[in-house]
Amino acid sequence: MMSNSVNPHIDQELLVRYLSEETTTSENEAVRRWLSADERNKAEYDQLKMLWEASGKVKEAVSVNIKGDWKKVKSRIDNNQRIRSLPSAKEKRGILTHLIRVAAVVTLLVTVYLGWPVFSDWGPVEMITVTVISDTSTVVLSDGSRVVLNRNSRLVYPVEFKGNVRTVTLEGEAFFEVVEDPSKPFLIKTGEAITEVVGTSFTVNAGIKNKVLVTVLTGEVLLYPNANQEHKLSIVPGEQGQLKNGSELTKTQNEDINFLSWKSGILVFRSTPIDQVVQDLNTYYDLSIKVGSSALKSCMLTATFERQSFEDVLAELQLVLPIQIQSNEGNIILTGVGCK
Amino acid sequence: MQKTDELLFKSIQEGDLDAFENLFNKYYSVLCIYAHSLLADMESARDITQDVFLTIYENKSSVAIKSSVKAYFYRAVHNACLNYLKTTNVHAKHHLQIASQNLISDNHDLMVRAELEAQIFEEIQKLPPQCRNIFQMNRFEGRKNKDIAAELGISVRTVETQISKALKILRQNLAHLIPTILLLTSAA
Repeated sequence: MMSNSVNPHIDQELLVRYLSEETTTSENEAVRRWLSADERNKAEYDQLKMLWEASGKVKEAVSVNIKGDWKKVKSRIDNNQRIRSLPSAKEKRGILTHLIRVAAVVTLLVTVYLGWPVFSDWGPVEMITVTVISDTSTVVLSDGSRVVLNRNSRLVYPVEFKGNVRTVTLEGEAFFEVVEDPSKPFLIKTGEAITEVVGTSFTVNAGIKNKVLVTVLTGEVLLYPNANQEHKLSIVPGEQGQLKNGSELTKTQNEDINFLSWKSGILVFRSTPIDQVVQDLNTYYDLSIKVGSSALKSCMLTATFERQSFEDVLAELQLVLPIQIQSNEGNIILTGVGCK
Repeated sequence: MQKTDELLFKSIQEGDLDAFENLFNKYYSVLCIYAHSLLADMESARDITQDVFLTIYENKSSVAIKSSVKAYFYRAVHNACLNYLKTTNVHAKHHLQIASQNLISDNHDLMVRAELEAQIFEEIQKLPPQCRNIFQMNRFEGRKNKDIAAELGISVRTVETQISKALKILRQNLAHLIPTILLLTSAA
């Protein structure tokens, strides 16, 4: 047997055949003889076998397409940058941050000055009515409080607040940012409900039939029926108070993170089921998109849209979810095979 | 090597997209392979790895690298895979066993394995075209040598010669890794 060069007596093609398990019985016998003839033969075979097996294990890497996948990542980066550079988005964000800051200051004051409101008559004053049909509108009241009215809403308020209470009347939905004044409680009348404010920011939605919804962002709000002012429901941040049919007062945790989207211009989704996403988009854009296949119900969306056009939002939906969008005579229908 | 990564990342934080592409080219494959070892599903592994790259780029200014860029990416992919397994129970069910086995095993071991696999794959890609093609048809596609011969219109003997040539080149170029490969294949 040669001592310097390893395995001079084996046919390399035979070894390949052996590794491929394509040998005949007599060939098997030949390989086995060769293996047991010298330890170095065995060592060489072990190395080949190991490379053989390792190569079989890396086959999945074939589908990794670095160039193509980089294009995907890059287009997502570009897309996100385009969204962020929309001027209105920045502008709007600025306003919101400002609002939240103001509201936070008010919240601090509330805890110090919280007391019983005093009711008293107030003389006849000139009233102003603001009606908003489309878009939203901001009203600044004589005490400095701000009211942002949602579309299809109406606010009636005095030119100047007189007397011991500040009273306004609302139909529809509005966001209130009330200037703190413990000596003059702020009352919002909405049909059968009265919302009493102790200096805070919150929304009142009286746009639903027989129902008034009050959602609090900061501070504390009291909600009670016009007919029974003894029974007051206290609502704090994160909660939503509801008065139904003029007398049924209930309170739930507010789970709708988009309750302010109409005002902030920001829609936020966090693993939100597609049904809810569509509902929020319909509310925000005043549309009637439909989910066309039940398979899609398994899809969840995590995304933030800031003051984007509806077309942009749909384009982004298609990027992140396996959905097709069909537009048919003004009806928009989402279809697809669903999500894993 | 690590230092250049950190320098690259500094450029990325200043908004240098080319630097980011550099890092992507360097680590994308191996991270996909790593994710695949956790998920046993290459398509999801790729999606998740892309998401991780995107997220890191989007948050580049707030990303604080404590150890190394490489370790940071591995950790991010690892967490994203865990997250994915948690949120996609239905899909993960039949993979869960493989995945959870891998998840408890030593993380470093998995990283070494992924890097090895990436290097082996890279070496296979460097083989002469015909040789690589035949080798991949056998190893990746599981084809019989006589099928390969028939498809390519060559003799079975030539197929075997090409495969043996591939093994020879791989053994040469991966010689420094052979002790590690040996450890991993025996552990698996």
